[in-house]
Amino acid sequence: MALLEVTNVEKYYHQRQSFIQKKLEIPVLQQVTFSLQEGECLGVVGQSGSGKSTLARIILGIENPTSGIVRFNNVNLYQASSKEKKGVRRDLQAVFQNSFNSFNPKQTIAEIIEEPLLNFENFSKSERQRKVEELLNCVELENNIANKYPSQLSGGQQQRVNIARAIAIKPKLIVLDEAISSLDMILQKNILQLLQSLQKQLKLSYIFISHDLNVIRFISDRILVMHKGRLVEEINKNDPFKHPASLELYDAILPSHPWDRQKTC
Amino acid sequence: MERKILLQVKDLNVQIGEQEILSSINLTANKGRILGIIGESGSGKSMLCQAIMQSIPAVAKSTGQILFQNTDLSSVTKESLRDYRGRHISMITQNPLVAFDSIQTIEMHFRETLKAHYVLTKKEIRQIAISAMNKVNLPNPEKLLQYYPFQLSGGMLQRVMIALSFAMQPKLYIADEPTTALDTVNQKKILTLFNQIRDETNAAIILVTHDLGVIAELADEVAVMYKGELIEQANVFDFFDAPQHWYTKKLLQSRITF
Repeated sequence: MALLEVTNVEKYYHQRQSFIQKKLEIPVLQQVTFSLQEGECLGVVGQSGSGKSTLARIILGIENPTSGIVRFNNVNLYQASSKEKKGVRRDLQAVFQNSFNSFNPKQTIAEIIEEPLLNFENFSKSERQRKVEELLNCVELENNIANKYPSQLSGGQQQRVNIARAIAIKPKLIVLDEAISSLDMILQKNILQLLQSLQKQLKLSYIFISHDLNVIRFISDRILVMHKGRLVEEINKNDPFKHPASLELYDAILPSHPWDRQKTC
Repeated sequence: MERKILLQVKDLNVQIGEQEILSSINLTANKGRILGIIGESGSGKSMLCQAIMQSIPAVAKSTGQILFQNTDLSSVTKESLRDYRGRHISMITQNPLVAFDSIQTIEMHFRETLKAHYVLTKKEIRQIAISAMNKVNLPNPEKLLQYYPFQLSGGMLQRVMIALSFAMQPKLYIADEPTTALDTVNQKKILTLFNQIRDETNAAIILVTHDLGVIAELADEVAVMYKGELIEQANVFDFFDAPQHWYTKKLLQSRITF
């Protein structure tokens, strides 16, 4: 059975040009349907404004869809009891693009990583401390980072802390929304490799959202292409793209060597 | 194409307190060529751009020469520096939304920029703005002039910023991570635009990036920065085919390939 099932999800935002006019309905997501199997990495790719992040927020329960159903682990996210919701939150974690904004700047790294443990586990202080060390190890960070503050870390280190926090309570699915987009190339590849090895170790599933098709093709098993709020294409990793929106993304992949430059104009 | 030196950076050092941010940088930008500067975050790429524009933070101290058409920018007066900034050397930054004033329309931005250097009427400025925006393929420029920065998307705003620079017809563009905040489709459009501007105006472009793809797409020469030093400078083909420094090799290995 699928771990996550998204059925016919639609989201509209309302906008009023002036107070005498009727409210305008702006569609952000239309008829989005897909499912995710356990252990799979599903890539979601699309231009800015195609609705990728709204989809992520709906899956995470940060936003409610206008209509449609999201079932995680066979629990309907929007009709769940609070006990069921707590279970879902445990199994569903997120890493966002702006790593610094997802921390409380007054907390040390240890406190940040501890937070989910405090909420979901009954660990003693020493157990938590050991667990934090273990997690830092897991994301290839030094132990002495634990007492530092987020502002003292580099972008790559911050994103590793985010990942450490996300895997702290052994979730089933991590939604990564442009998680590596603000990092430089060497770090991007490092984090991608880290995510791949964690996926194997911990049997994680990912929803990996990015505008960069190259990155998506590197990490995903299956790729969803979004365009103007709709899912326009769903293919396996190595299949060719057909939809014009996918091809536009494909054409925008930059060459890996100057020989491959396309003749422009 | 005739090769002419436009900008020469000689023995540039920048220090903040005891810390060396840039050490002995030597660099040349030629007319009609695109110089790509690549390096990881914190390697001093942006500081180098600021040093060329003579706008390093007040706490920083710099030594060395910035020769722009044989004039040392580091020794000219503040008043004559104004002539160079914007008019001869134009800067395009990473985050377009921050570079614009959110309570001014696009037209006001054009007015302010052009009036800083030329005596022009509103009507003339409008014409220049519209033709510059047409140049960068912005749809419906007359209407765009009335808009506020936050009403435009990142890609469009970045093109407005390039149009603003282009309206001044500078000899040197310094583009500091111009496409990092954009998605790949917009990135491609902006890079094509830079190429087009270079071909038509024979301007020099310094393109700062952390993305090897951008270098592979556009640069003629490449300079690699690492911890405040320029560790390698080469023609773009040599850079990809015969990297010398270990860091350049590592950088090339980080390409995501299948």
